[in-house]
Parts: sequence; structure tokens; C-alpha cells
Amino acid sequence: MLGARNFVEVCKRMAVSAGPRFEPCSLLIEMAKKIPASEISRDSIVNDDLSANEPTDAVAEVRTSSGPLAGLRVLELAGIGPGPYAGMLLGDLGAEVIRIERRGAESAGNTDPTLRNRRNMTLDLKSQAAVDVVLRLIERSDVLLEDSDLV
Amino acid sequence: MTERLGLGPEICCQRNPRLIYARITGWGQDGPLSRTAGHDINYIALTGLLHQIGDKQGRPVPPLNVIGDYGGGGLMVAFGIVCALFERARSGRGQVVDSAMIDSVISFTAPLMGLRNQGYWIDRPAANFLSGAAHYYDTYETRDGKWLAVGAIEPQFHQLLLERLGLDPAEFALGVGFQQGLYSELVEDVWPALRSKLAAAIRRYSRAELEAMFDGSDACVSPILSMQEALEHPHNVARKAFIEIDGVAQNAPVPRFSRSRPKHPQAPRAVDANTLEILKELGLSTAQIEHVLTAR
Repeated sequence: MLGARNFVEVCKRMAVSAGPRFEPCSLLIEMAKKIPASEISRDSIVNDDLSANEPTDAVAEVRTSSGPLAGLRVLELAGIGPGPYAGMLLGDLGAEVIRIERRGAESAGNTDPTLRNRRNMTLDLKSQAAVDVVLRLIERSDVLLEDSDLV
Repeated sequence: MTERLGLGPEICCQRNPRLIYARITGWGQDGPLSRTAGHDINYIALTGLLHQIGDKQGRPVPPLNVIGDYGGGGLMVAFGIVCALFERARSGRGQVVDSAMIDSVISFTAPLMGLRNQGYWIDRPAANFLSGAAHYYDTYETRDGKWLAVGAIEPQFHQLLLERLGLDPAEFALGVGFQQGLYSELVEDVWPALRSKLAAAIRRYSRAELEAMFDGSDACVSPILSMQEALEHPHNVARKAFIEIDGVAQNAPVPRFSRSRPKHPQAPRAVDANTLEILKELGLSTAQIEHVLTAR
């Protein structure tokens, strides 16, 4: 029998991995109802407010977000100017933005505000392996943002 | 203001909990200036942005009312509304979207903060490589008194620019990009000298000759078109960037969607063209409609 805390963790992981499409089934809701109210807030499972419980998992902590775009997953192919500005707008409002820079790109350190609120990775997009990674990321994303046509 | 009419957020959102109540202000809903009058030029004046846009003599120049009213105002609130709609799809509830022009225009300074933090910055008009300090990102007068936009930031485009004008790349080498040597030296010494050379070269030709010279190239050179000329430019014509509604030329809807294409826009109607029709749609009786139309 799952203890209340484990149950919450399982639900959180399911919610996190399913993203915007997670809707707890009636079974989950019934199970949640059986857990003493003192141990858990049922609302924290069916809502997106994952911050209601202390995240114990690094991934859950990173993905806990708030703002209107909480749960939105954006993949940003790094550009300059308008692209990062849009990524900033989306990330600021709670979207989970993964920014993909080309391998060897320099980090701007902490100096460029438009790069905040991201998780960053570098990939050599000339390799098929990297392209495959991007396609796998796309499968679990809501938005692909690119401004590669701009210089 | 809507609060005074009895149409503030509390009342409206209670009436419809799914409502997205979107508010645009210049100064914001609170703060020392929130109850004072202002216009675009005032809001952008307090953001640090207007200070950067101006002539070489150091005078800030009003960029029309595009940055505050339409960029920071209209566009940002439209975006905020859509964000709230996304959230509502998950929560079932509306909320207030509070879009202050001054906040939004401050957000436009985010990339500039990056440059400033990295030292590529002098705090006055036309001292930024994107505000006219650099010879390669500026406007130039043609022989026939028209204007050219040059935006050849990257070395390969800069090279093409020089080649087509018959200028010697060696003379321009130190002024490519914005990271060579001391930034202040670029702004005070290097770029002004290069601007003179580039200006002299461009001034030899009419705008039409320059358009032909750079046609199809990556030199990042463009004619600066008047509104009438913009309507007629081949690129805009080919893309139908302008449409006509009842004979009036105007911008096409933006942005473009691959599946969800809107209909051709309706021309603006008279202010009261649909009053009766809408009151009837609401289910008001003739007597109620009469009352609405005549009540004081």
C-alpha cells in the first residue's frame, strides 16, 4: 500500500512526465480521497500547483513552475534578438523553455537577461544523433521556437 | 476607470469567472505616476530606451508611438491574453491581465542590458552599435536625396557591402563587429571615420542605382521606403503583406498560420451599425431595447 508521501511523488512524476495532457483518472482521484486529509492536499494532485509539496526530486524541482504558461514546454533553437526575447517572455510566464545552442557557443555568463529562465543544452545539429535528440524532445514539447532565418 | 463605471475586475469576474480581464495602462495600476496623464513618449522616456534613440548630436528622437502604444501596449496585452487563455484551459478560471506600457518597454531593454553588462555601452543617443554609432548599421543619404538602410553587422556581409561599393576592406578592418579593441574608441574614433568613407561612396549613386547594385545580395542594404513605396515594393506585393479592404490598402493579418487562416478582414463599420442587432441577440425585448437606447 503506498504511503501518502510516495503516492504524491508518483503522481507528481506522472504529471511532470505527461505535461499539459495529464488529467488524473477517476481511480487516482478515488485513491487520493482515501488518504487522510491531514497528510496531503488532494488539490495539489489535480491542479498544477506542484509547489504545494516540497519537491524531493531535482527534475520535479526544475519543472515546478507557476504563471499562466506553467506546463507549457518550449524548445528554443538558439538565435539572437527576437528569438531569445520571445523565449524570455515565455519562460518568465512559467513555460518550461529548453534552449539549444550549437556546440562550442560561448556562455554569456549572467550578463544577458534575455537568456534567463531556461534550461540550456548544446548540440552539434550537423550530426544525425543530435537531430534525433531534437526530434525526441519535440515529441514531448508544445512549441518549437526558431529564428534561424535571421542572421 | 472602469471601476468608476461599475465595470471593474471584481464585478466583471464575479459575473463571469472565466473572464480574462485585460487592462492596458501607460504607467501601471499603481506607483507614484499611476494617476497622472501621459503619452507614449512619456512612458518610454522613463524606461532608459528613449535616451538611446536619437541623432548624432545627442538629441533623443521620438520613434513615433510605435514602441510604447503598439509594442509595449497592444502587442504585449494581446500576448498576455493568450497566455491567460492557455491557463484557463487548465484551470477553468479567468484572471486579470495587467499590461503596463512602461513595464513592457522596459522588457525591450533586456537585450540592451546584456550589452551594457558586457561593456559594449555608452549611455547616450547614437552611441550603441545598433543605434547609429557603427558605420555598418546606419542610414545614408543617396545622391538624389533619398535614404539607404545599411545593416551589415557580420564580417561576411560587411565584406559584400565594401566590395560592391569598391571600397578597400583593409581600411575598414578595425571597425568590423563591435568587440575589437576599446568600445569607446570604436564609437569616438574608428566608426565616425569609416562612416565618412561609406557616406561618400554611397552619395555617388541614386537610390535606384544602389537598389540595383545590391539587388539579391547579402550585403544587408535596403532602400528606406515611404509608406506609399512600401505598398508597391515587389517583396511586399509578392507576399501580399498589404491587402485591400473596400479599396483601402492596409496590413494583412499577422502572424500567419499554416492551418488556421482567418477570413479576409471586414471593413470598419459605422459606430452604431450593429447596436440593435446585438441587443436582440442578447434576448432583450423591444421595450427593453427602447429603454437602453433612451435611458440617461
